Amino acid sequence: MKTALPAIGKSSRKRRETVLVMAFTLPSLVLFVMFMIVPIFGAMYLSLTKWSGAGAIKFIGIDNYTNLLHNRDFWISFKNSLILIALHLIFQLTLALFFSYLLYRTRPGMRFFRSVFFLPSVISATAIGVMFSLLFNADLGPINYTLHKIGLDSWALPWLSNKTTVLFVVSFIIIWQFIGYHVVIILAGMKAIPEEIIESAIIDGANTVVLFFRVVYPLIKDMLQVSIIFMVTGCLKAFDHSYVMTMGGPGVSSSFLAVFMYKQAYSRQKLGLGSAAGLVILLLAFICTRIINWIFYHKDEESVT
Amino acid sequence: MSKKVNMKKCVGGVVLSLVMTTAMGMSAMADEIPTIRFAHQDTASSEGMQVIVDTLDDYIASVADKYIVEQEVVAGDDLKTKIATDMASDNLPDIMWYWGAASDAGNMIDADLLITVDEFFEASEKLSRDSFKESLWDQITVNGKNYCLPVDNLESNWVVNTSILDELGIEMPTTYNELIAVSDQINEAGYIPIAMGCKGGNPGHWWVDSIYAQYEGSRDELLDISESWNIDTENFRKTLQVVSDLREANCLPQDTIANGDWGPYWALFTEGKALFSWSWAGGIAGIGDNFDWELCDMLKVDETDADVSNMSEPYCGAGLLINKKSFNDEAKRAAIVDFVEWYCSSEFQAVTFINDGVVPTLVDCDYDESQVDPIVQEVVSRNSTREGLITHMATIPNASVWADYQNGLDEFIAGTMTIDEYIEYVQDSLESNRE
Repeated sequence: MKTALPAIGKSSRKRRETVLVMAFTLPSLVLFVMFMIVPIFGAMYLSLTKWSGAGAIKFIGIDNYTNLLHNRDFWISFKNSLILIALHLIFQLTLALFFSYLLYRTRPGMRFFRSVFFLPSVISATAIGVMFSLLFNADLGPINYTLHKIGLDSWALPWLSNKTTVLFVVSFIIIWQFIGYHVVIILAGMKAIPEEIIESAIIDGANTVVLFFRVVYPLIKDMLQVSIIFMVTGCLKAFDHSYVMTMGGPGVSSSFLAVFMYKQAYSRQKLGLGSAAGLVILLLAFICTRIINWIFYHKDEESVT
Repeated sequence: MSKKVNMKKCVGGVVLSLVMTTAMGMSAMADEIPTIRFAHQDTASSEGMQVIVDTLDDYIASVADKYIVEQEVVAGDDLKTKIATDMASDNLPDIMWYWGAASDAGNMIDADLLITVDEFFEASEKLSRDSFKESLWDQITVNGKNYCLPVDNLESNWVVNTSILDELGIEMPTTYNELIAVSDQINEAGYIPIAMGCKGGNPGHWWVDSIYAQYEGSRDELLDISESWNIDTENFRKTLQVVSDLREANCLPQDTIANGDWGPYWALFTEGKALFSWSWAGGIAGIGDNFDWELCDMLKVDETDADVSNMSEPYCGAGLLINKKSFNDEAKRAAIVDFVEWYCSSEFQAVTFINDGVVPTLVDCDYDESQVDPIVQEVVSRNSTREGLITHMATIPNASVWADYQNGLDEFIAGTMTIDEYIEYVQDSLESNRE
């Protein structure tokens, strides 16, 4: 015989569930507040001050932000970060989509190649930076050596000392290293597509290209959104490769916003200005994430209507 | 009733254990030995450094019954980042191996975080100002005072690859114009006239200062920077013009960023790819015998009357800094004095000289000459009677300006900034940081 649970039992169960949820989320919430939220407020305060890290902290209002607006190096780093984002969206996203679809459609060896693609992502950025510094060394490196040997002398440039090439070299390396990371994310999305949908599309005569654009792409949009957000926010905090290979130089030619922030805070010992730059990065990451979410949401809305 | 008894027992037990714990804690505190934190950059990166690190560890172990030394080791310029972070979090180590000029330690000095060496000497029975070679103090004088006990004393020299001279059948150039004259021949043979790069200012700023020092009056200009806050002098412009001419004549590596910093530029020479280069004695001792080479004078700037046979470029800009707050802590002071006395002792300086080519800073340092690398010995004796030049690193009065000086120099030496742009960049930095 079935009997309805008494109301008091429901509320007690709900309370127990709430306690359980709290018990599980509270530790991470406390850590998140301690190590993310509190430092953000700390940085907000510091960004309104002039401080070298020692001695008295001087409150200067929004002077650091005004300084950023008139700082040539900040705008070059800002532009470089935007170029890095654009290059990521054009090349890294396209290549990650291509490779993940290739792996998805070519089942034999998929696991092996997935690991191969992912491998560079787990290597330290410092090691990658040092390795590519040697490869691109115009005087000792194998790239220019090969170019000279095959008669392409005019192509043998001082890659890391040339203002025009250095940004693209550093960007190329970052793009190369993390393609596999996005391949894994996008591939996970593809693997979640029910097999029957793919089979029926093939029975209906869809070729590989049609299958991708009409079936796969619409069904992996959520994963793409995640991937793009990681790409863009990763570009905004890009630091290691640029710092290891060129220290952001020559000058600030290969400096990104995070390199600029680090140099202000540590090399120039201007913690206030560095904090202001850090908050600009945070704000940009927030704005970019909102825009990406809006674009994907907007497209979804359009497709529904 | 029995519940009440149990409760009483329970409370009694808790109180008893609290009392015991407190008593034990207090007794431990009474016997507690001080702990001092020592930040430095000595890592076992070579056989020689391994000996130095072992000697340091042995001493720390030997005094463990009197005080504990916690080592905080960060190699290279990253030590600056560590100290900046420690400083901002009011967690400065008690003793720091650090760069002592205003360009690096200026903020700590301005914030009154360090003791002067004289305060230390007052507390020390073993060391006094006279214990150290007098010539060393110039590079670490800030506002007329010394805060750094000099221990990192390096001698440098220029070197020439004589195998390349023999192969090309050319006389050794002794001036920059002579080098420019044979630059094409050297390049065509696949060699680089001067192995020099500049990333983060290193080692390019040392080279630029070796040119600047040859102009009459440059020493006074450098010593005056903290007063004049001016870098735009005729001598400095002429210096940059020499650098620019050399770059135009392909006397430098094509890629001065990739070949910048301490390892890569030197690899060009040690790999036999360059005719000239410059390094510290320890580096020169490691060249090996894959090709013939010899020590030589720095190249002369043709338009000057400088006597390069009497010039050297020593460095003693780093040493031990002592945290004022820690030194004023009675519980720590004796430990700090003892450890610093040992670190500056003849015994430890002999170990660093023999194993890493760091020249003793003490007037009287006993070491077994036969154990010192003969090349290091030769560099030291060669420079012993020469006049040591002063550098921008020792005289630029502010960390921000020094960072901008180095940053701009990377760009200038790479050829992506003109002389005017570079001077304007550094001068702007000097003016905006002048307070």
